[in-house]
Amino acid sequence: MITDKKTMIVETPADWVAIHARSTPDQVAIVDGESRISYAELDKFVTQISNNLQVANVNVGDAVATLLPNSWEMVAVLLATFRCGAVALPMNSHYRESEIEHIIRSSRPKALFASVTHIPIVEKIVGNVGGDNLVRVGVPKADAPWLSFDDYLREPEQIRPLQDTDGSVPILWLYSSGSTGGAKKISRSRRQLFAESVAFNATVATRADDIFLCSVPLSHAYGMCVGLFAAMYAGATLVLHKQFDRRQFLATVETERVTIVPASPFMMQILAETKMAHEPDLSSIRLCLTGGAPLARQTFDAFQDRYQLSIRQAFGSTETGLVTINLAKDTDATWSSVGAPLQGYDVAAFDAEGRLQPPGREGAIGIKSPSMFDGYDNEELNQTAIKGGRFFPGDRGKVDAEGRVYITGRDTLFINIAGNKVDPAELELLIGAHPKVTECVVLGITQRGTEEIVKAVVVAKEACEPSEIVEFCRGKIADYKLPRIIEFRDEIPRNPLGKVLRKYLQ
Amino acid sequence: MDSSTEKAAAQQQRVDAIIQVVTERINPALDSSTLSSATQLIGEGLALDSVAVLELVTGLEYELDIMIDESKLTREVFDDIGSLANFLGESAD
Repeated sequence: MITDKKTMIVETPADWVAIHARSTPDQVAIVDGESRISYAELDKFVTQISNNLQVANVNVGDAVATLLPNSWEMVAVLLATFRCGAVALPMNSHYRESEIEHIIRSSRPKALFASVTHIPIVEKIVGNVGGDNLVRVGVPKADAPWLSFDDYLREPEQIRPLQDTDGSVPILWLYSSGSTGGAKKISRSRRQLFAESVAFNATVATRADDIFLCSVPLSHAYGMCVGLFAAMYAGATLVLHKQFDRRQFLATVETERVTIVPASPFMMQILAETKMAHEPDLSSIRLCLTGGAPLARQTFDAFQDRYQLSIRQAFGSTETGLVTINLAKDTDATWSSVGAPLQGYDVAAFDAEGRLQPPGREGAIGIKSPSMFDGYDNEELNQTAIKGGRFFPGDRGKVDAEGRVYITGRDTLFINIAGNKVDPAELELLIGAHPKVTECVVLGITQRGTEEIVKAVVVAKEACEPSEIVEFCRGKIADYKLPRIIEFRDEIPRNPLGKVLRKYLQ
Repeated sequence: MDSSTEKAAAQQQRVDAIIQVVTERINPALDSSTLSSATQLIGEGLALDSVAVLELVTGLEYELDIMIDESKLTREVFDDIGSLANFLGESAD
């Protein structure tokens, strides 16, 4: 167990696994396909991997990257990274080569665990960025110079003692879409992640007999906190799906008697309309949570009608972790709220001059919490996003007299595709590089209430088909970022100062 | 109506249902009159990604009150609207 300078306990999820391994060794920690891994087994794997990382000279502050889907191996590597005091750098296994390269280039991990399917991409990137010293481990097996994951499950002959760290050291780097220069690195410390888990579990009152089902990626803040950290804190069971498969999801809720489901509004809409051979029994669920995107009333109603379950919204960001959760008793009246702040958190709305807005009046949402990050590496970004010790994620909203938060819109141009953020600037740069394109503006348009899709408005130099634009982008960015609507225009509408008039591009 | 005419009418109904789901749920900016059996769904044409394919499949199940076995959904099924309509017809047989 690790304590900080004030002797406050600042445990990591790896410490919780060790504690549960002693108190409830046979309790199932992870279910991944046919594998059911107890806390005792998980703790053993975590120690073995941690010891091997230390032997490989991974030190406090070094990054250990993963390029793995949700799996017990990914969980074991993340926890082992925490145990040896290093920084976990989980990458979404659906990232494209350019995105992975940007992250590896800017974070310079000391070790990387990747699925065998990613080995060719990683080798190419290592060649590009000069990362020959990177320790590369293939999951489940790989040929030299790669090590195999099995090698990391063997006790090394010599073990280095754990290095001392305190609560302020970073233990997690995540990347979030940025408006300039690619994705931004967001660093969070041991103390910040500990505070988030304590607050979430206290607010939700998680228990050891809870069963979490996580098909949202553990490589993102939402799945990591509401899936992995919450389950490990409570000594509960975490069922992992590598990706969202609607029928497998419904069947698993029934067979595993799942109690807590972190999901997205898109997933809930799909589940509400999925035909099944027999109506699934979802009565074991006590918390059905959506985050990452606004929930439409239509989705709330459809899910309620079909399964007699109220979807509850949560709100957060990569920079802050989860911030609010709606646990109000009157689910119908409060359906559109993202809920009250977690215990000890403060969320408020502010006007353009930075004055606190009274209850019910809209403004820029500002967050203060013990679990939010300390700031970006980029001072310019900090000046825009952090004011008076509060983080402003770019959302607009209001707080009612009961302290419930409502998100009403966004100040930023980010597009939200089924919970994934898309930066229009990244796409504009890419499409603008097409030889037939003079200019391009990318925006999100809303359909079916709240769902957004990517639209690209293109000024072309010569005759060009929409498919030429899409094919040019394909493979260079994640598929969900591909524009679904491409509209050709003679010119982009601008005001006299040259600012793009986006409202005329909808 | 002879059986070939009936089959053609049923195929056209499935094509119409796909066009309806595509224009109502997936891409509201599309003009349904520009879509036909020959419109490609993934790759060139509508360039549907995996999220859109899931929306399309679920939408078709809901609108047509059918169950689609995703394990049988090969890339060829999504070549164009006609091939998806064929698949739906074969699944129903």
